[in-house]
Amino acid sequence: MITDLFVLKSKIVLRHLIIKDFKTLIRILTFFFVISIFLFGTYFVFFKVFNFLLNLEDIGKGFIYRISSLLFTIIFFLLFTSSIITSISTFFKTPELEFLFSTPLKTQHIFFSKLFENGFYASWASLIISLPLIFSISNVFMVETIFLLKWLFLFILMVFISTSFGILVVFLISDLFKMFSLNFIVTLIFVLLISLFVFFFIFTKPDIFNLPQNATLQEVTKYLNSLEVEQFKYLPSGIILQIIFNDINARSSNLLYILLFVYLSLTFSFLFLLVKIYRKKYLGFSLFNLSSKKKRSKILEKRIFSKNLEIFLIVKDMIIFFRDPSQWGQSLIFMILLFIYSFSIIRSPIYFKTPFYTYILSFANLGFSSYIMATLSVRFIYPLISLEGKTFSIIKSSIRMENYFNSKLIFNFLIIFFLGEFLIVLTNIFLKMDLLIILLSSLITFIFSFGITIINTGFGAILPDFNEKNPSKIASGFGGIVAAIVSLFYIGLSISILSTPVKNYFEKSFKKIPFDISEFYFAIFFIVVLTFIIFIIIYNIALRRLKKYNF
Amino acid sequence: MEKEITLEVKNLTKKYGKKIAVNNISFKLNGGDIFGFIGPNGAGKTTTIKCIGGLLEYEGGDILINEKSNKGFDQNLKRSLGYVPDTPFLYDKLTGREFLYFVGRLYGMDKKKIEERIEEYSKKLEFSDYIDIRTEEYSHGMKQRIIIASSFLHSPDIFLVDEPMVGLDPKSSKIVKDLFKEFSFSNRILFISTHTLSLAEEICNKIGIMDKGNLVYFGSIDNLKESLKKSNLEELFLEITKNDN
Repeated sequence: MITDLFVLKSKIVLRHLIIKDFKTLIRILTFFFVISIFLFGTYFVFFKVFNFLLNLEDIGKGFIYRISSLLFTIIFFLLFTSSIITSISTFFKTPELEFLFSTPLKTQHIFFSKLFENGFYASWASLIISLPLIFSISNVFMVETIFLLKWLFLFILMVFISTSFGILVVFLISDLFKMFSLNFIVTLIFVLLISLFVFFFIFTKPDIFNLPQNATLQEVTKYLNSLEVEQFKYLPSGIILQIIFNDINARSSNLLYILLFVYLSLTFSFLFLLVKIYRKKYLGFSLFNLSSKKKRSKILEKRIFSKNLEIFLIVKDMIIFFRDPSQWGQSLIFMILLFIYSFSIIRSPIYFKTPFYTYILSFANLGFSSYIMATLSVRFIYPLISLEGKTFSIIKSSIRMENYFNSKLIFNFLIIFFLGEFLIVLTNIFLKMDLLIILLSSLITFIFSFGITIINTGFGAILPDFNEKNPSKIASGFGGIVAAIVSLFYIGLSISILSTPVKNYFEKSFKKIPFDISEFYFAIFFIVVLTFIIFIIIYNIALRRLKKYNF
Repeated sequence: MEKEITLEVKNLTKKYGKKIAVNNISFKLNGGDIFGFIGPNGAGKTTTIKCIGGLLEYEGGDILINEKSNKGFDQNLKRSLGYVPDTPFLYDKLTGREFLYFVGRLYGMDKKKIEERIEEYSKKLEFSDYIDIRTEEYSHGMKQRIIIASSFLHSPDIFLVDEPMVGLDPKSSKIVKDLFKEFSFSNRILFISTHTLSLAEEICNKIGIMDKGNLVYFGSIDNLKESLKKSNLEELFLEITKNDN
C-alpha cells in the first residue's frame, strides 16, 4: 500500500508539469527559466569566487573552507527552520490526512509518506544554494565524479537529518496547539529561531560582515577565523563539510563517519518513536482553541458606518492581513531579510572609493531596493483583489469600480513608497553617498513606487484568481508571474536609462570635471514618461476588466 | 449464517479544550438501520461521526464497531467502515477513475473487483461521462458522487456520511438518495448526519437529535411524532431544539 501511495504522489507531482494550455506552458517555462538562472548564476558566482581565492597563496583554500562552513551552517538552519514550518502543515493540518487516516493505511505508511513530502517541501528552496555550492567546490578542486556523487549523497543525509530534527520539534510542541492558536505558535517559533540565528552572527561574529581591503596578514587570518562557525563544527553540516575537505586534501575521515553514523542512528531512533505516537498526536491535534473566549473586535464595526466606503474596504484588507498567519509569517521573513541587508550595510565600512565601485555600489543598492519593492508588491499587493473572492460581487454592487481601484492604488502606493524610501535613504546614508545621489535615489524610488504599484494592483485586477484563498498561491500563479516579470522589466529598463548619467557623474566628480546636471533631468524625464505610459495602459485595462467581472 | 453488524456508542464524551462538544451520549444501531443524525450547527454531529470513524480521540466512553472497541483503531476495523466527510477530499491532479483505483488498492481490493465496482457505481451515481477527467475540473456535486462511490467501493459494514446533500443539485440529490434507499435492503448500517430533514424523514428508520452536545432524542420518527403530536420532522425538530438560542 505504501508503494501505491508513492506512485500516486509521484503521479500528482508529474501532472503539475503537463502542459494543458498556454498559461500552464508560460508558467512552467518561467519557473524553469527562473530556477535555471538562479542555479547557474549561483554556480557561476561561487565558481568565480572560489577560483579567484584558490589562486591566493597560503590563505585561498582556508578562505574557501571557511566561506563554505558559514554557508553550510546557514543551509542546515534553513532546512531545520523550514522543516518546522512545513511539518506543522504536512503532519497535522492538511485535509489529506483525514482521508488517509480513514483508510486502512498503516500509520507508519502515512508517516513515511509525509516524512518524504516534508523533506521535499522543506529542502527544495535551499537546494538552489546548496547544489551550486557543492558543484562549484568539486569543479574548482577538480575532483573525480565519484567524490561529487558521494558529496551529493552526504548532502541528502544532511537534508534528512536536519528536516527530521525539525519534525521532532513540532511533535514535541504539538500539545501546545491545544492551548495556543496556530498563528501564535508559528510566529513564536519563527521569531525565536530567526532572532537566535541573526543575533548569533551579529553579536558573536560581527567581523563576518567586515571584509578588509588593505589589511595585514594577521588581520586577514583573524577575519578568516571569524568565518568558521566553530560552535557548529559537530552539527551534520559541519561534519559533512569536513568530510568534503578531507576528501580534497586526501585525509581520512573515519571519526567523522562515526559521528555521522551516530546522528543517523539518533534520527532513526526518534523517527521510530514518532511513528509510534503519530496517530495519537494527530487525533489529539486541535486547531481550535474553543475554550478561550475572544473579545469583540470593534475596529471594523466602527468603520462600517464611516461615510467613506473606500476606507472601510482598506481597513477590512488590513484586518484580514493581520489575522492571516501565512501573510504575516512571510512579511516577517521579508522584514528580517531587510534587517540583515540594512545591518550588513551599516556594519560594512566602505573601503572602495574609486568612482567605478561607488557607481556599482549605488546602483546595486538602488537595484536591490527596487527588487525588494517589486517582490513585496507581487507577494502582498497583487493578490489583494483576488482575495476578495466571491464577495467581489457584493463590493461591485455597492461601490463604483473607479473608487474601489483608486483606493487600492493609493493605499498600496503609500505602503510601497514609505518602505522603499526608508530602505533607500537609510542604506545610502550608511554607504556614505553624496547628497545628490541620495536625493536622486529617493526621487527614483518615488517614481518606482508609483510604477510598481500600478503594475501589481493592475495585474491583480486584470489577471485575478477569485477561486484561490491562499495569497502565496495567488502570487505564484500565472498572474503573479506576469506581474513579477513586468515589474522587473520596468525596473531594469528604468535603471538602464539612469545608468549613463550616473556613470558620467561619478567619473566627472572623481576627475573634478564639472558635471551637467541636465543629464539627470533627461533620464528622469524618460523614466517618468515610461511610468506614465505603463500607468495609462494598465489602469484602463484593469478598470475595464473590473467592470466586466460577473459571478 | 450472516454476521451481525452493530455500532454501539457508549457514554461518548469529547472536549475541545474546556468546551464539551459531545456530552455523554449513548445509542446502538444494528444491521439494516438507516440512521439520521440531525441537529443544529455546532451540536456535535460531525465530532461524533469523526470519533466513530477513528479520526478524533475522545475523553470518555467507548465506541464499539461489531462489538470491538475503536480505541487503538486497527486496520480491519477501518475496512469495515466507509466515510464521507462534510468537505470532500480528492487529489486534484487525478481523474475520478484513478482516485477510485487508489482507494480500492488501499482497501486491498484486486483490479478486477475494483473495475467491477467502478462500473457499477458509475452507472448508479451517473458519473461515467466525467470519470476520466481530472477532479480539479469537477463541480461540488461531481466530487461528492465520486467520494460516495469511493466509500462504497469496498462494501463497508457501516457507512458514515456527513452532510451528503449540501451543495447538490436536485438531480444529484435524487441519485444519492436512491443509492441510500438501496441500503435498507442490505444488512448494513447507514449513518447519515444531515440538515436535510426531508432526507431523514424519507429514508431513515431511526433518528438521533443532537443539541449542544447532548443526544436529546434517539428512536424512530413515528414514536417521536406520536409523543409530541406533530405531523412532520421539521416541526418536531424545531420543538425539541426551540431553546437553542
